[in-house]
Amino acid sequence: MLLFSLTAALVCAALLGLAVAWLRRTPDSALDQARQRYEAFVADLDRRVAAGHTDAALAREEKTEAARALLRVEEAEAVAPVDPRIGFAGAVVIAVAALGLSVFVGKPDLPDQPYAARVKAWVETLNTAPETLEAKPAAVALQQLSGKYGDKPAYWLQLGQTLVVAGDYYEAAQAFKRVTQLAPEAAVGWSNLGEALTLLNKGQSNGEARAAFAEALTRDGDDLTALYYSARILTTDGRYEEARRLYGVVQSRLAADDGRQQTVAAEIAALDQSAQTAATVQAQIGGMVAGLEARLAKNPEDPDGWARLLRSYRVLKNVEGEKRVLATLDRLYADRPAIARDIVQRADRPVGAQ
Amino acid sequence: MIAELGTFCLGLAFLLSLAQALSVAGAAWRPLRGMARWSEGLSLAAAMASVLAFAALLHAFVTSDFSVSNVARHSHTLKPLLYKISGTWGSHEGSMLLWCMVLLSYGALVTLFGRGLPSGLRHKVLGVQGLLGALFSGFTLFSSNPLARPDPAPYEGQSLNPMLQDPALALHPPLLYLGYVGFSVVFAFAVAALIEGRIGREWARWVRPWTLVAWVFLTLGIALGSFWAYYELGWGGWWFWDPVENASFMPWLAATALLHSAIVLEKRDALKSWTVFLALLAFTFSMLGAFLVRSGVLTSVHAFAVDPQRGILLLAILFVTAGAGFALYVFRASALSSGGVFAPVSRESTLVLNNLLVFVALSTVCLGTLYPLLMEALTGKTISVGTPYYNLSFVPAMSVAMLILPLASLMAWKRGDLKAVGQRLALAAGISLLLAVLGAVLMGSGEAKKVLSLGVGFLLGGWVILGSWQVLQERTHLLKVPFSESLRRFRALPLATHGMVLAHVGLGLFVLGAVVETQTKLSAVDHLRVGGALRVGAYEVRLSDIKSVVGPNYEAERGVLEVRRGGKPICQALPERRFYPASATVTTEVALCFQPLNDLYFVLGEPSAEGWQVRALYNPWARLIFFGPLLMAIGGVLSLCDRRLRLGLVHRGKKG
Repeated sequence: MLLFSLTAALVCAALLGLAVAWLRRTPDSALDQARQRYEAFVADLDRRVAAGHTDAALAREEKTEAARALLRVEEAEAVAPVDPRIGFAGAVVIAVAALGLSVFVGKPDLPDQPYAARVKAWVETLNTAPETLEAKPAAVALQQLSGKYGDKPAYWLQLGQTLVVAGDYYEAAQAFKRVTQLAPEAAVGWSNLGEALTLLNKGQSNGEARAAFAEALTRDGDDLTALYYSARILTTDGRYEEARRLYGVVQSRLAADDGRQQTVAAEIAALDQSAQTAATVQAQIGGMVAGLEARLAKNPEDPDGWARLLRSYRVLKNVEGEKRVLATLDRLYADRPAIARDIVQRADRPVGAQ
Repeated sequence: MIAELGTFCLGLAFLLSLAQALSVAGAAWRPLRGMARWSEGLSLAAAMASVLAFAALLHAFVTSDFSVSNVARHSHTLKPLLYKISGTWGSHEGSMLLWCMVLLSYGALVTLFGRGLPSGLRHKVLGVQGLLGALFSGFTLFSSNPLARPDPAPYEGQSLNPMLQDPALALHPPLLYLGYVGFSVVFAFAVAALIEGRIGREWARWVRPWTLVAWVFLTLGIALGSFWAYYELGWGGWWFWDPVENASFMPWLAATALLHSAIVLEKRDALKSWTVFLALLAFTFSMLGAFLVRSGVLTSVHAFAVDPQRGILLLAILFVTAGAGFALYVFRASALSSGGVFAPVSRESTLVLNNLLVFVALSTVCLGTLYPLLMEALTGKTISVGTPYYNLSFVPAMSVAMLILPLASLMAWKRGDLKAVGQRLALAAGISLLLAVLGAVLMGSGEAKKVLSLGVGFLLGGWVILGSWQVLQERTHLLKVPFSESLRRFRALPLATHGMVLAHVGLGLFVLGAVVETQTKLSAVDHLRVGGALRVGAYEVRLSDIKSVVGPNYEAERGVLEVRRGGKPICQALPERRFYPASATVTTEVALCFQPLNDLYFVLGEPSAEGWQVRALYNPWARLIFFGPLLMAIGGVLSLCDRRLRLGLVHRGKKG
């Protein structure tokens, strides 16, 4: 705070000094200024008249106007200087008020925290007391060691796991990709990659994540992370029995007092709920689809109906039904492919999108 | 400590500005009359304090000091240095600090370059500038402090909106603010002159350079913003009549009218009230723009989503400053008798008519911008005012203004001869008509609306350009005297004449580009697999590859598009679809194939089972849309150079 106050006072003194220095210059008299302005103006006018750009009469008029303006200027009225003590008092008030404002609005005792200095401090802490570091600074500090340990899969694995804890799933996925490149035979790299990608995708396993879990299970059928996420993928796909079986495998591999048992149990409970809801929805959609199929059989010239039927089969994951509709469309609209293409595109859009 | 010193300097700038205003106000009391001079030194100190505050924020951005909340919310360690720097003004708080720095620096420039001004006027200008500086720096310090500090500091920043990470947009805000805030000086000159009760030719001479400076910056800022929207947003458009775009366009129109009315005041000692009114209006529209962008009343890619509380504060500043300025105007305007008398047919009359038309155009833009907001506020109904409204209101007013423009350039002062001017412009009119017919027939493809638009566009564009050429031809006596003599006359022309001609030619080129681009552009969209092709006009576009690339803070899929015409390769375009992990945002990066006049414009869309969506646009004469305003700005700079005598630069050089 003392250093800040001193520096602030110096800044204040410098700026007010600048103001005083400007005011101490001897100003030109108003008449001198006006005369010089007049001479420059007349010279400019003469130049323009000589070049033929200004009408001589207009120039004469402008000169007269400028001369009148010059005549109007009188020597600046002698202004009595203001008592310098008022200025000094004003400067002190400004300096004190500025300091008071910065205390009121700012946090003068809070030091700057440039990123490079913080990283340096984190690296030191990592070397001395790593347990005191939170995940994000620990990950940043670990990243600084990539030059030294960049060829070691264990380093990238630790970095990736720390990044996952820090919530930086994108960077974590990049780290796990390095693990899979350096040690492709290790299942743990693949399963962690799949997990990071799933977390990055807000809990949904995309194609890349699914492929990573599959790779992990190819290398180690007992990889718990891969088993757990594979069960979740099966649940998403509506393959509830297979999912239930995999969750069972995960439960059996975990110790009875392992905290993760609760997570798996919750997943199984959610799975049962989903299966029940899905069965109800399936039944409802099934009835609706049957009605739609019957209507289209009677009146096949209904592109909107075909689009809805195709969308329904896709929702129901009824691959056979989908193939059947596509084949019918090919046949029905063989001479009108644009309509068939439009139906397929409309079926891709979610309900209500149009 | 640097961040805290920044806060200290911002507070100091606020207090120094306040002292600057008070020193002028206090000088009204006779014993303290000499105090007015203090405003000069205080303006320099306030400007320096604001520069130091800005430098502290810049330092925090460059060093990624996330203990400053503004840095934490708008920067990231992976951001390239340029965008760390531009992040300084990428937020409401940072841009307000930039606004204050520019405002206070303009005040300092009045002190440095305004030594030729009568001291009474100079000090009053500085007093008004000080008041404006105190209001805006106070607002920034107390409600939008860019150097506010959270404790503890986050480990990483949230990054800047990827759409704003662009070289054009890094420069766009500073240019825009140099324009917006430049009008504060013009405003201060108007208020000071109203207080003094003296407005005449000298005043117009003093105001014009400041107006020109701000106008040039605003022209460049608007053009750069438009170019950014054109290639960054991926819609292929360059002007959307977005309220935020209009917010920058309104002060520009007011300043354009002001520049021309100031000429009449300078030359003929006429239009005093009108010129002062425009001077007040230009900065009022600048402040209105600041309110619209920052109050949260608008949702736009350009707008800062800021809470209404701060919007109300800005509205209060707008009412206080503009209200005081216009109240003063109401009380004093009647005393501003115009000395110059002129005939109905004269250069003055055409300039007045032109001014009125520009003002009508400005009013239509103002109505179109504010009416939907007022409707929503009063009735809760949301209405949108779009291009059709502006085509029916703004375009006709500006078209007539452009028809008059060459007449105004050639007409004599005081009493003109319309017939003689008509004869001198007959050739220009004939060629423009011919161009209009050719353009409409060759490019209109038979559609009535296109034919009409192209015809009018070519007529106006050609008329303004050829009319400007006629000015040059007459001033240089081209084809009437030996070429060497014409060349000598050309060189001897005042820079202001070169500037005027360039600016008018720029306007003509802009109109040509705008009309041809909007009426004849072509587009095609298709889903392409690698090897697939689509056609846009005479061009075949083949997707030859999709590559993954890694940028400094993004990953991208880059389409490699081979563009051919009649089998001949034209260019290779590389549009991208980028993913910024820091903000989990996907953006599209347009690829442009620059032709001399035309653009081939490509966007890589989302991938699907049918391939990558590729959008191709052929934008004919698009280059003129941005080249025209550039010429206008260069014209402004040339004009400004011609005013150096009035800025006192020569005077100082002689002394040295």
